[in-house]
Formats: sequence, C-alpha cells, structure tokens
Amino acid sequence: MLKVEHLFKSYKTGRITYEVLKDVCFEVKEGEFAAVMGASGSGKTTMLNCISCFHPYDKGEITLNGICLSRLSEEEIAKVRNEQLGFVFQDFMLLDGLTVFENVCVPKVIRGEDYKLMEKKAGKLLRLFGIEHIADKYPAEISGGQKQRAAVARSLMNDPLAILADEPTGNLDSRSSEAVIQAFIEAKKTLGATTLMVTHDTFSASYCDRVIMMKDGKVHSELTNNGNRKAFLEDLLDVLRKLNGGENDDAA
Amino acid sequence: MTLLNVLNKLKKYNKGNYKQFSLCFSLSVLLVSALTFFMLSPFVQSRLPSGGDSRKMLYMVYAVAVTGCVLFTIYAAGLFLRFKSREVGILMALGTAKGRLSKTIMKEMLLLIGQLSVVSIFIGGMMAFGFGKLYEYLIQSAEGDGFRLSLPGLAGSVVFVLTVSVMIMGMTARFLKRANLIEILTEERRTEPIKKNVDGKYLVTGLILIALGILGGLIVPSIISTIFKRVLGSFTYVFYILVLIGLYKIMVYSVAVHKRGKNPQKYYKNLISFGMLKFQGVSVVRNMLISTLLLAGAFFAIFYSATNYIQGATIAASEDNDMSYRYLGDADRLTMQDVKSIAAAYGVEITDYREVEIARLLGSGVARENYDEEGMLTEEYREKDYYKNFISAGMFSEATGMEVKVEPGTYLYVNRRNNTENYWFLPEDLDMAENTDTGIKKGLIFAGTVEYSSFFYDRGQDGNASYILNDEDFAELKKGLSNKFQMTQVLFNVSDAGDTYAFSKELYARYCKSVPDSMRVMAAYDEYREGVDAGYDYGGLTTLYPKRPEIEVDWKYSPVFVPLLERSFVLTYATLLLIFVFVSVICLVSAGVIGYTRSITVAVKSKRVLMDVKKLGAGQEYLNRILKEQIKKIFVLPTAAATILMFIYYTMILWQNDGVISSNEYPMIGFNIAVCLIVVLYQYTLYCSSFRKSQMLVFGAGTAVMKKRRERDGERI
Repeated sequence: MLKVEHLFKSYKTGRITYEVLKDVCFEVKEGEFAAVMGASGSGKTTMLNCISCFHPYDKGEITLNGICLSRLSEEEIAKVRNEQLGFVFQDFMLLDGLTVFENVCVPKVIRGEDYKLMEKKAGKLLRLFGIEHIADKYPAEISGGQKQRAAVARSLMNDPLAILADEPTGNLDSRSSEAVIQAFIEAKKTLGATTLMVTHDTFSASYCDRVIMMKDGKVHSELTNNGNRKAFLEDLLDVLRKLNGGENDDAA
Repeated sequence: MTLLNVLNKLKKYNKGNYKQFSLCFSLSVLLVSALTFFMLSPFVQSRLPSGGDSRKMLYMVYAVAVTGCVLFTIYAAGLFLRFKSREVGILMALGTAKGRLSKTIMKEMLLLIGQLSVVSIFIGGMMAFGFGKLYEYLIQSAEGDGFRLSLPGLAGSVVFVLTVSVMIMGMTARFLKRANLIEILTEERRTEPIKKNVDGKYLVTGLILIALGILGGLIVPSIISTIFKRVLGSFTYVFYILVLIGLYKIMVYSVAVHKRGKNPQKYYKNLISFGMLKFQGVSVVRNMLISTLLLAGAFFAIFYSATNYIQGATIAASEDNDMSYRYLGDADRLTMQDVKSIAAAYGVEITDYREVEIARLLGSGVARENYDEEGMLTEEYREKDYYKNFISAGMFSEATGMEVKVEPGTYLYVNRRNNTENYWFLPEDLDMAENTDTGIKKGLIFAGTVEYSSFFYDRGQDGNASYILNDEDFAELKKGLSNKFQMTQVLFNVSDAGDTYAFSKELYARYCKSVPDSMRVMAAYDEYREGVDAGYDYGGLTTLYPKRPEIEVDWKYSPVFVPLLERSFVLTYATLLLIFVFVSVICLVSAGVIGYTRSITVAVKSKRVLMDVKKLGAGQEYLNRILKEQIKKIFVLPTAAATILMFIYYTMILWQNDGVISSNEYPMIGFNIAVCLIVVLYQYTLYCSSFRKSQMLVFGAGTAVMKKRRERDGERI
C-alpha cells in the first residue's frame, strides 16, 4: 500500500548539511494502523512530511498503491493529497469560519463533488465518531477532542488509501486522546482505513498494530502488537528506554 | 544595545509595514494639502462665484474628501499598530517597562509623522502650484494676479496634519496603555467575526432603510414642497443616515450570510472563501462602507460639475440673440455706431441690430418668502411688489420676429426656453401695473407665456420678470414715465467672420465702463423694495471686472454675449470643474488605496488558512479562486452600491427639479452613465492588481522556493 524505500533527506544551512533521513525503509499494509515513534529530532515528522508531499526529498522513493509520488506534477500531487491521502494534524487545522459539518465536507468541496453524496457521507462520518450533535457548531465552540475527531472524520471524507496523522493527540488531554484513538480504530474496523500516525504518546501508540521506532534519521526497530495492548505498551516503553539510553523517558 | 537600537532593527525588518503606513499617511496629507492650497489661493477664491449652490456644494464635497482622507489615515494607523503589536507584546513580556517603551514608541511615531508631514505638505503645495499655474494658463488671465500659494492654504494643511496626528498619537497611546499582555500579543492574529445571528432580515431591513432614507431625504420633501407648498427644512437630511445604516446592513449580510438555499452546489463551491471572509467580517464591512462613501463622494463631485458644465453649455446654446444688454433710460449708452466701430476693429460684422423699448412699471405680485409656525409657506399678495419690465406686443413682435397678440387688459409672461416653473414665483401672480411717475394703474389678467431667452434676466422673477402688454395698454401706462424707469434692450447678432470672442471681450469691457452707478446694483436690487424693506441689505455698488468677463458677478444688468459664453463658459466653470474633479480624484484614490490595502490584509490573514487548504489537497487553481472570491468582495459591493445609488440619486435630483427629465438633461444622464462605467473600470483595474499582489504575497515566494528546490532536486517533488 504505502512503501518508503531508501529515503534520504537533508537540510542545508549555509555550508553545513544536516542529514535528517538516512536510508529509511518501511511499508504500511492496507488496513493497518501503524505508528512512527522516536525522540525529538529522530526524523519522524520530516518523514511524514515527505510522504505527504509537503517537503521534497533527496533520494529514495515513496509509492502509494504503486504510484511513485516523486514523479507527479504539482497539480497531480494536489489530487493525490485530496483523493488518496487523508490528513490529521496536531493543531486540528479546522477552518474557523466553517461549522463542524462544513469542515468535514471540505475535501469533497475541493474535489467539487455532488452535494447530495457529500452531505450523506459527512453525516455518516459524524455519526460514526459520535459528533453529530455538534455538526452546526464552529471550531471555537467545541473541545480539542471534538475538534480532532472532526478532523479524523474530514480525513476520511474522500475514502483515502491512507490517513497520515501528525501527533494527533499532541494537544489533547488523556481522555480526549483516547477518544481520538478510538476514532482511528473505528475507521479501521468500519471503513478498513489504513493509518500512519507519528506520535510521542506511547499510550496512543499501544493501540496500533505496529510501531516503527526511529532514531537519528533511521528506522531503529519495529514492534508488532500481538493483541495484548498492555503487554505491547510495556514493550514499547522498554524499547523507548533503550532508545534513549535508559536515562530519560520523554516518550512516555 | 539600547531599546532604541532594538526598535530600529525591528523597523528595518518590518519595513513593509512602515512603508504601507508612510504611503497612506503621506498620500492623505499630500492630497488634502494640495486641495487646500489650491482652493484657498486668492486666485481661485476670486474666481469662485460668491454665495450660491456651487460654493456650498464645493465645500460639501471638500468636506467629504477630507473626511475620506481622515478615515483612510486612521485606518492605516490602526493596521500599522496591529502589525506592531507582536513586537511590543514580546518586549513587554520580557520585562521592558511600559513607560519606557511607550515613550520610545511615541517618540518614534511623532518623528515619523513629523517628517512625513513636512515632505507631504511641501509636495502637496508644489502640486497645487503646478495645477494652479496650469489653470492660470488655461484661462489666460488678463490681469496680473497670477496663481500663488497662500498662508491660509498652509494653515489649512497644517490644521489637517495636526488633527490627524493628534488622532494617531491618541490611538498609539491607547494601544500602549492596554494592560492585557496576551491581548497585545495576539492583536495581529485577532479575528473579527460578525455575530452569527445575521439572517435574511438584515438584507430586507437594509433595503427598506435605504428606500426610506431616499424617500425621506429626497422624494417626500420634494412632493410636499410641490403639492403643499411647504418646506420641511434641512432636518430631512437626517434621513440619509438611514441610507448609511441600510448600506451597512446589506454589507454585513453579504459577508456574514451564506446559505445553502436553492443551489447547494454553488453554496459548497464558495464555502471556504465565505467562511474565511466571515472571520474578518467586522473590519471588512467597515472598509467596504468607507470605500462606498468615498466612491459616492467621487460620483457626486463628478456628476455635479458635469451638470453645471452641461447646463452652462445649454444656456449658451438656447440664447435667441448673440448679444444682449440693457441700459436705463437716463444712462449714457454705447451707440450702434460705437458698437459697429469696435466690431470693425476685430473684423466682425454686426447684423440685426435692434433696440427695444421697455417700461419699468411697479407690478403687483405674491410674496412667498416666509413660513408660518407650522412650516407652511405663506402667500402674501402685494399690490406693489417690484418694478417689473413691460414691453408692447408690437415692439416684441418686431424685435423677435415672433408674432404675438395680446388682448387689452391681459399680459403674457416672457420665459426662457426650456425653463420650468417653480412655486416661489408664478407668471400669473401679476394683476396690476402702475406708472409710479403719473400714478396711473391698470388691472391686468394673465393670458399665457411666451418663450424667448433674450428677455429673461437672472431667474426671471420679481424685479427681473418681463411681460408683454397690448400696445394700447403699454402706451397708456408708459405715458409720462420718467427716463430712469425706461430701459432700452439692445439685441444683435454677429457674423462668423472676424474675432467675435475678442470683440465680445472688448465690448464687455466698454459696456462695464459705460454703465452709470445706478446700474451697478446686485441682481435682486429693486428701487421700490429698497424703500419698503429697510432691513434688507442690497449692498453697495457692484464690483465689475471689465477685463475678466469669466468672473460671475451678481449684477442686475449683466450682459449676455454668446461668443463670450461659448468660449469663456468653460473658463467660467473651470474653477469649479477643476476642484470638483480634483476632489473626485482624491476620493477615488482614497477608495482605491483602501481597497488595495484591505486586499493585502485579507491575503496576509488568509495565508495560513490557504496553506492548510493546500495541505488538504487543494490545487493552485482552487486556491486562487478562494483568494479571488475574497478580494472580489472588497471591490464589487462598494463599487456596485456607490454606482447604483449615486446614479439613481442624481437622476432623481434631475427629475425632482421639475418633475420630469427634460431633453436638455439627457446628455447629463448619458455623461453620468459614462462616468459610472469609467469608475467601474478603474475599480476593476485595481481589483486585478490587488489580486495579483495578494497572489504573489500568499503563493509567490512559496512557489518560487518550491520551483528552485525542484530544479535543485532534479525534478523531484
């Protein structure tokens, strides 16, 4: 489904080049709920931005359902972002002037789709994530958790091949975080959604099928959830402790 | 490093904001000082008609232009302070004492405003000087008082600068006094959403208020004064405030309400741009309203000057004789021989020379000057009203070639061609005429109106009214009339050959010099009324300008020379025309700059949201459309509202004057339509350039970086 092969990415500041991604390889399978974890500066957000086509990359390849993203034109990239990818951001990125319902409709509005299908789909997603009662509210009138669930609903509007979530629980309290993670799980179960989530939050990551650990711009290890969430959480914390040299645990 | 160093460094970094404020402030001061210098120069002042509607309208439009400039400057200052809020907030958060910061910023602002003011007043003065010299050249002033800048002009400009500066410094002080640090820090990103419960009622009440405003301010007073002869007074202008409120409501509606309605597909198509604009609603609507007012001011200035111009041209064209002037019977006049010899010097041939005998008899009339306690116009019949002009039917027919018959005991009123009646004076008011030398009186009955422009003086009423009598009646009344109550009307035409303009100018000078003091009286002067209306000031001797026929003089015996009217009528109206055009240019420029800067603000504020929408998969075309929709709103509604309202309003004023749109008013309407189209085109051009600039601001740099990277990365993403 989503393949990242030998991805390299560097930034230049004056004469100094900082290598952020160094030969990153992994794959996310259809219907999988995967997470990328790592300490600050490990390159996880940069990698997500490369997959989202927000940043160009130096070397390597990213393919989405067999389509090579680097060979697409600006307009084709926009089309992929709109139709084949769904996005959930840490700061929600809901449009202040639109209601929750209208915000959820935005991807289809951009696509210029027939309003009847759009309204039907938006209603269905709002019900799925339990936020239909705030459909007419504006972002300023709802909680962070509700905003993020609206963002998850929005990301699913065009039935994307994959949802890319960048720290979706980063601005939320634990209760709201759980509600948002449940929304991802619900999307996976009901709609078969494929999700790649970048997170610092071990608790949220423990709900995933698989967690890719990154360190210094490389994939350090991968952990698979065998169905026991608590045990998986313990495993994640162990790996993170080792990853951080056992001295601190900022990912917990 | 001192605080001043830090602020100076920030100034360099934020030079765009300083540039925008400096441009707006300078433009405003420059335009107002140029206009003030021009208007208050003795050269221009001496060429403005004293009193009358034109001067009143001129000052009214000047006030509109100055108000526009004040609003525009205040708006620019508000924007500037908002941009400055973040750095001020950070410095305060880091512990800079508010007093110290305030002192430094106030000093910085004062210095900036001071420098800009001096430069702008200087350039404004130079502009006015250049404009004045051009004007002087155009009217080819024969006398030595060339255009110069005056102290009152400088004083006026300084007063404007001081007023605006005090307002800006007050705004700055208020901004710095605020205690809430978070509010200061977030000021730049503050949204100003319109309250959400705006609905269709806003539109309906807006339209109703506009209709009521026009009804109360224009239509009802007009109907009441025509039908009930009652003047409602200037309080009716208050109704125009309703138009303003109505406009505001419609604009709020247009920005805040976006309903799914009957076309949901269209609703969703414009969903994002509407949503974005709504959150800047308050300032957008405020700007739209100011732009509308400025555009309306520009329209009024152009329409009014054009109307004056076209009316002047019509008057010249409707004269029945090329040359027409009068002498009282006891005056030493220019003889036909004198006139012919002057004409010969300019190669001009005199044709159809006629002298018409006129008797000035004390006529009766109805005075409609006062109002009773209820505001009703009172009618007071006066057996002895004014000395009026009487001509015999035979003499009139002979002089004009128009065969008129007047039955004994009746009279005809002589009216100007295409002139309409007003209720202050009615042709049938006269029913008695008296020879005050002999005491012979005669009752008369109104028998109709004859149109002939050369016997129509001033407004053709009271002491300037002319009537045709039956030959016998005329002879009876004229018998024993002393010379001072007799008058000779001279009429003739000039050939196309020769320099008719120079001849007319010379004749004007000679005529002015030849008239005795008894003829140097204001248009409203009347010997009888002077005796009975002790309180009325008829002024002293009228000052004549023999070498400057272009100057409009309030003079009862002012001659009418068509070659002068035709050629110098442009000059007669040139001052008014130029100032009105100048004012309209100021209004248009101010409206343009407001529209442009608002577009830039909208673009800057929308940038983040547009980037978010881009991340959600919107292509460049879609993003352009969103931006375009928002900027379009800033220009379309104010332009449409000002154009439609002012066109309808002015057309109604033309209609209101006499209850019809007469044929000589068609060119004015045509001209007004052309002006509307030009202003619309101007606004469209501005819209296009605002959009291009906004596009560059929002996407330009990002797109350029992306392109560079792609080139560097060998056509990767």
